[in-house]
Amino acid sequence: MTLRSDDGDGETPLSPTELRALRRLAEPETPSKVETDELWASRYRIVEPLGHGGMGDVFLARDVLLDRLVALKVLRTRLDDDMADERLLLREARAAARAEHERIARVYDAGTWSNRAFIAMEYVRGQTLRAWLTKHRPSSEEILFVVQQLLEGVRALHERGLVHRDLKPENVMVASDGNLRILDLGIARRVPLATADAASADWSSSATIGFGVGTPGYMAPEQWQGLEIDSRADLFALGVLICELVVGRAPFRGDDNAAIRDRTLHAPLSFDSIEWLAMPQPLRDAARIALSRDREQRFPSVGPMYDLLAPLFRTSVPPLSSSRAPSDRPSEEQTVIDSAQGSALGVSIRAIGPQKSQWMRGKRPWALVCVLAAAALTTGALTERKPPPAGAAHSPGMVRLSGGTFSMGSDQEDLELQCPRYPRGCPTESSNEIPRHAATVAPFELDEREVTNQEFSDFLFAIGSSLRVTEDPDDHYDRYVQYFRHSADAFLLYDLWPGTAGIRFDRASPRPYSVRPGFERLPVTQVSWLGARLFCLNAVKRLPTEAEWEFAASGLRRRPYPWGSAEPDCNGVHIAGKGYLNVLNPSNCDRQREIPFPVMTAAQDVTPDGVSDLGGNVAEWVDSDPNVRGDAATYAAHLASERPEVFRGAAFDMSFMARSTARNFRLAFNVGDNIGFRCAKSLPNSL
Amino acid sequence: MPRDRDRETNSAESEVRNLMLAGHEREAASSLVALFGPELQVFLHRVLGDVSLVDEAYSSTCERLWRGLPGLRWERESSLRSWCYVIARREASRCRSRRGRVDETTLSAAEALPAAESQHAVSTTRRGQLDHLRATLSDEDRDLLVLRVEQDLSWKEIASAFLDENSNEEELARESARLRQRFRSIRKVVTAMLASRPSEGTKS
Repeated sequence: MTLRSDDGDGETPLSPTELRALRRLAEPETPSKVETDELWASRYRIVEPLGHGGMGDVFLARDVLLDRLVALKVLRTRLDDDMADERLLLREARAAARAEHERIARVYDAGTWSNRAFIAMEYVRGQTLRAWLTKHRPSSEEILFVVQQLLEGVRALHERGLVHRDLKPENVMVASDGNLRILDLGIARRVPLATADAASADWSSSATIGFGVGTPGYMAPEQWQGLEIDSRADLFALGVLICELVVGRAPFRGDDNAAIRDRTLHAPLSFDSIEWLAMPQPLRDAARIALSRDREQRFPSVGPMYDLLAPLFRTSVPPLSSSRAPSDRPSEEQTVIDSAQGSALGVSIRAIGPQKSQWMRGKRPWALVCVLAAAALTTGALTERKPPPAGAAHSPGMVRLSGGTFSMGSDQEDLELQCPRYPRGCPTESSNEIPRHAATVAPFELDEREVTNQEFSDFLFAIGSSLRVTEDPDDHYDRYVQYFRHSADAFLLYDLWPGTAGIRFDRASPRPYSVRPGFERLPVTQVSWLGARLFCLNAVKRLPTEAEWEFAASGLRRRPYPWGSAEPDCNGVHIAGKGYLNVLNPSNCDRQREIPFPVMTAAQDVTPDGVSDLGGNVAEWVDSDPNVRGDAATYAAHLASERPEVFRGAAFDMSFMARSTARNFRLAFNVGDNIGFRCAKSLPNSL
Repeated sequence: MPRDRDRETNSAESEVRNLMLAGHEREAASSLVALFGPELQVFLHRVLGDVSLVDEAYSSTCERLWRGLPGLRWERESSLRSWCYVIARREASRCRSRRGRVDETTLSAAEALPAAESQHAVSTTRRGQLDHLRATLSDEDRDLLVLRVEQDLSWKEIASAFLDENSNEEELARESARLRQRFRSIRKVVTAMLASRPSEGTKS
């Protein structure tokens, strides 16, 4: 017995049996129940219980008047004349009904029956976001889609003066049409409506609208502290949800509420894991700001958070394909990614990164970030873009490829047919193309050109906090950029060897990474496969698979070279140079060249679809194993195996790989002064 | 309650008191809720059980604490914790009385008979006997049990929670004695029940 003894009962201590019995006596009574098949409010026939919400029980019921299924939420308590709280709940239910927003489960009816409050809501077929996440690891595109829809729903609530207070995966439904619905406004409370200028509103003076309710792990610090709550508590919960979507688990976990509370209030948050680095910078910024413990440092409302992420959002159909019925597949038009938004993406990522140190110092970081994002939207798109071929490109700077089944690789006969044309024959490396086999690729988009030094320099600056420049004269790479995934786990990302590196590093400069003058439009080289992969993921893209790359180069008609069957000419294709594998060796090549050419300057090296420089300029890293994505354990095992990664295409100094089927290998953390990369992107209906 | 925890609580109470006396009402309220909020939430869970009621009762409790803090008298030792329980008990009673009315009105005549029969059937088990005894307890009795057995409060604190916050020491002592006597009575019934042999073929 653990009763305090300072003022004991003057009797024998309680035995464990007595204690159990007394505790049972102290237990509260259980509420009464609604029966199946009961006709509620003369209209809703109870079909079966669906679950228990915060305020009451939820049943699947049939609206016998309109002959449709509804979710009937029956509050556990009864109404009485002096029960203002229940009346307030009903008013809030009606407010939610007025919200009439596609991201919020609709409320059809609210009233009282048998002196008990009830709400008849839209019955959303599908699964909760929690169930969906349990079975599915979302891609970056899916994460952005979920975030977009959550923000839309929460914004609709806030605009109507409601704070949800209990946003969590269990309260979000992934409907069968792939869209999200926010559920359970059971503990939603009214807040004063924001003024038109939300950013300038004095939120600290908001009226008290509720105290520490919610779900541990998703509650904002002010909810734990029992302080008054405003809409910024929902933004904190959104930050938690974003973390959960990206990392796969909520950031504030513990064995009990005390531990969760402690972590929510004190545990440091890191956004430097590989999962986070694979996300676009604005999403990381949004999560970081939303999760500020001091709510004054959070976004003042959903609007600025949405604006920050808007360039990443798409306006087409939902990508949550795992929940979509076959008949729900989008039309061709629906899958088109809005080009204006896509254009903004590439620019805003570059523009926001360099401001990190500024917003960290600022009192209201959201403001600066949003201003910068907005400014980035107006600064224009990528510099070297040429007009895409008619009917080809959808995302700016990318070419859309139809996909299909094609003949990949080469047989011995193919090589024997081609190689005698070369003065020195096919190098032995060509054997790795064997055998020829059928491969199928889904529709995808591919960058129309290789990633440039300028773009990669901006990227390095944006993720600078995770990088370290190491100088080790004894190393083969005597000065290089390392990317740190963990404190003791890093890989070489970029080789700063000044002989050919297009990017320089100056530790003392406020912008330490800069492009060598004249190298801006040259394809970036000396990047490891790991670095290339990181860049693409950060841009909400990915490395093309080897099959995709070859499909782009070879096409369904099996072109010997990306541009067709014509032999390469150094006037039209950037090949040859000083490399030893100049098997083609056209006489008009610059045999002394040590660096690539500017992108998209090889007139011959363009595929019929409009993809430039596949044949030459720099070879390109590809993703030989597309399954190695996202899952940290699989990824780590892959790296540990030291299996070489594939690169494709020839380079300014390496002509033999100009053939569409040629391939070669290098370890994932190695670099080459003639190896660059480009990115690819899945189309929504091929996720 | 361990002495260390007592000391910590007293120290934190002093901090709240000092903040209040210095005119920092907002900070004092925050500290107060941070100090006793989790404990009060547990208490409300124990006396109400229903999550929806607990949410609302806790919300109201915190709000009343916040609003009532400026008017609190600070003369009595350890009054802060007791005062929190006074407020929490009031909110719990409000919610529970609401539910009590529900239960009274839900039992129709048709339902009453089978319910009575089933109660007789289960009351032959030890658990049933306890449930039957529980049904005879008042809300005050249940609060008393929770505060003493679960929340581990001293008799003085329990008496404070049962009285008006303006009660004097003499009233506290009297209430403390009354509650202790009530606790002994309940315990006596329970002890007798545990000593009796349940009916054959039933589970205890």
